[in-house]
Amino acid sequence: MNLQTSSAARLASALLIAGIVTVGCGRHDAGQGTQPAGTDPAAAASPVAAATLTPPPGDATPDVTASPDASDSAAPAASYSPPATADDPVTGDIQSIDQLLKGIDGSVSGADSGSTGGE
Amino acid sequence: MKTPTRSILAGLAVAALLVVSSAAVVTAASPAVAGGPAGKGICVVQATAVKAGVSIETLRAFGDCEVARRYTTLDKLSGRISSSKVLTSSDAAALSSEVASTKSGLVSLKAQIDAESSLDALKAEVRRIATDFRVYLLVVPQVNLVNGADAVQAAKAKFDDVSTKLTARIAAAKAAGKDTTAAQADLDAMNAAVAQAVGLAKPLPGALLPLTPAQYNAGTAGPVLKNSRAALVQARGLLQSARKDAQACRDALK
Repeated sequence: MNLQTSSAARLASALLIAGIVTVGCGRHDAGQGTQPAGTDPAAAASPVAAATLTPPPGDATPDVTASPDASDSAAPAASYSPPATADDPVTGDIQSIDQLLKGIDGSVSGADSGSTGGE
Repeated sequence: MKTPTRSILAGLAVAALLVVSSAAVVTAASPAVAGGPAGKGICVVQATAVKAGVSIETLRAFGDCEVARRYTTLDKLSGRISSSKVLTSSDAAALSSEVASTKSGLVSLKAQIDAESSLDALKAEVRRIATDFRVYLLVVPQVNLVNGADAVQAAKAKFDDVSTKLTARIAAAKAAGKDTTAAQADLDAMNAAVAQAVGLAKPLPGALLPLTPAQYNAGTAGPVLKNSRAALVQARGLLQSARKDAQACRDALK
């Protein structure tokens, strides 16, 4: 019985250590991007080092007060600030128009290609 | 051990993306219009056999081949009509009906060709494959030109959205003391070009859809097709100009 308990305890300890190492490696990889895992074995194996690699909760939480709307609301009512070209809905509309223009091109060339198919 | 495995997985993911991208490029670059050349040379073997010696067998084989390639073209046109995002429902229904009746007419003619025992009658029936249906000279252009005309209408809806947004933006800029003269001129030019394009494209389906092979044979459908194509090309040019105006207006308000 004692032997079984001891074995179970050893197994649990081994699993715990393996778990800590896995978590440490995962966080290390996530933080370092393309840096290969195990570059710093000490840091990866140490729960303390792993914990220091974890960003503080404040960093992970999006700062809703930093949205562009918040700064807009503080601006004078008459101020004018058009959206950046990439986010501009008009840009999206123009891209849709480009697709339709391509379709018209296809229709014109398709009408021509009919006569090359025969009678 | 972990790193090579990840590298392999990343490599596989990139390879998969390239395959998907290549497929997308092929799809985008493939001709939008079905039924064009549609294998004009497909029946060259049968045509050569007819030239070498006209018989019921050689002529029937040629006729069957010509009918079959028209089936292929009509099936592609049907697919184009049903997948079109710009055709109005009434135009799509009219075109589908025309394609279906053309195909059923060809099915009947093929049955006659297959059962024919007179060489002279067979010659006349094979000629009718072209003259009774005018798949390539009439039906294919009809489907494409009506689709193009409806695409101009669809583009108008998009330009209307752009006009609404730019009008609001000009008003806001003006209220903020900005000079909006150039932006307003661009917007006015855009709206004028779109109106002109729509004016050219709007009557096209009404002119194109009633055309028949008999009218083509009589020489009255050809000019309608030619003028419709010219109008669509002009409308396309106007929309391209309107697009530039929209961009210029947007940029003038930056």
